[in-house]
Amino acid sequence: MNSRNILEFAVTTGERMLANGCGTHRIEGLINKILEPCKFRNHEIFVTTTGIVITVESVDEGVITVMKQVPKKKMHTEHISLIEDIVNSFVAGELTAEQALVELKNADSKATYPYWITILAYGMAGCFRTLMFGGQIIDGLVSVCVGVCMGIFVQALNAKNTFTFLVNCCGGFVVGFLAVLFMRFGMGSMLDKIIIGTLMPIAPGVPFVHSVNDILHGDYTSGMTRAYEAILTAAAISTGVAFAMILWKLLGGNVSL
Amino acid sequence: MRTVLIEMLLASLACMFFAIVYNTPKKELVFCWLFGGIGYGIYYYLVKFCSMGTFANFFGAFAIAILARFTSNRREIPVMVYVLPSVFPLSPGGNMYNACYALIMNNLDMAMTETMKCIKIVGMCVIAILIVLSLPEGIFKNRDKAKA
Repeated sequence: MNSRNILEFAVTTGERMLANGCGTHRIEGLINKILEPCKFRNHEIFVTTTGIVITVESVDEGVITVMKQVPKKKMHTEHISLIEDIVNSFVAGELTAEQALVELKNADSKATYPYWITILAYGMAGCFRTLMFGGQIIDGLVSVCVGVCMGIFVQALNAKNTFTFLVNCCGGFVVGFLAVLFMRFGMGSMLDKIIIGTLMPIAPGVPFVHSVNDILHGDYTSGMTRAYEAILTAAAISTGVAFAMILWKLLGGNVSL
Repeated sequence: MRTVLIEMLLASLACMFFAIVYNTPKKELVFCWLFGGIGYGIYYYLVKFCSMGTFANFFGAFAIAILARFTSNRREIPVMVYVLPSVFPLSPGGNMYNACYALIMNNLDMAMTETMKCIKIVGMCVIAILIVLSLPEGIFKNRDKAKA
């Protein structure tokens, strides 16, 4: 059994899990599961939200340390469950480390939802949130249009690896601007309901829950990182909306929000 | 009662589409739809008819986490796949946005209120989820075998 291959498999697993938005305590458990049956003399794992360090002390090859940085993250729960399957079959002995590594690479390119469904999902989630906040049916329809535009924008900027703060800021700006535009042409009845409902898919409610979950688990480093991320996202979004409002005021509209 | 059902339907649909944004596997979308609806239904019922405050979030998240735990044991998929999209209607994204927006607009009273509300809601949701996640595995396994 080659410890280098196993280590590479372990670190790639951790990197993929982290890039797909998994919690750090879960990743530590998973890597532990990989390394435990391999009969190393000692192993240490350290996972934060931005990187992974794994050290292994084996009998014949001495101490090996691997480090990996993970700068960009997105939520992708399908990949998480796929990777867990691969790890389980590796632990059960059905795959060698090399095969598992190839499987991991394949899992990464696995087809997800088509582009237009993702875009539409942004719009529809926003629409139903608007209705839940007490909007009328027309507000929901406006929300779908605005949400789809926001989805296209956010996806396009994310694909170009833009700075995250700017992506959220632009998302907020698009939502604010388009919502006022629709109101201007007499569509929609409550501006604040439309804006807040449409923003919900990129508003950091769920990431904040995730971060506090990490903190209460004892992962203070990664929990605080996530919490700051969430707060910065909220700040970015509201800055974008505020910019849109100011722009409309400069253009001479009377926006009251 | 009818408003509760309507709200449940809206919340569940919102959850399902939000689950697509999070790239949940296609076969698990139905569960996200169901759990989101049930969790928000419980929350809404408690707020509306029992005039409970933030504690309603606790019971909503608790129900979601228990259901998610059972399903994840049955279908061998991580719990968080179900929990994160389903808790979307209960999570304080809107409050957080409101707080930041009020801060920018120099409305400090509202900013403070919204921040406190946000922290309270998050605390309640997370404590509920954590309690369920730290229950021993055996409870969920045995019930599962008895059903099958």
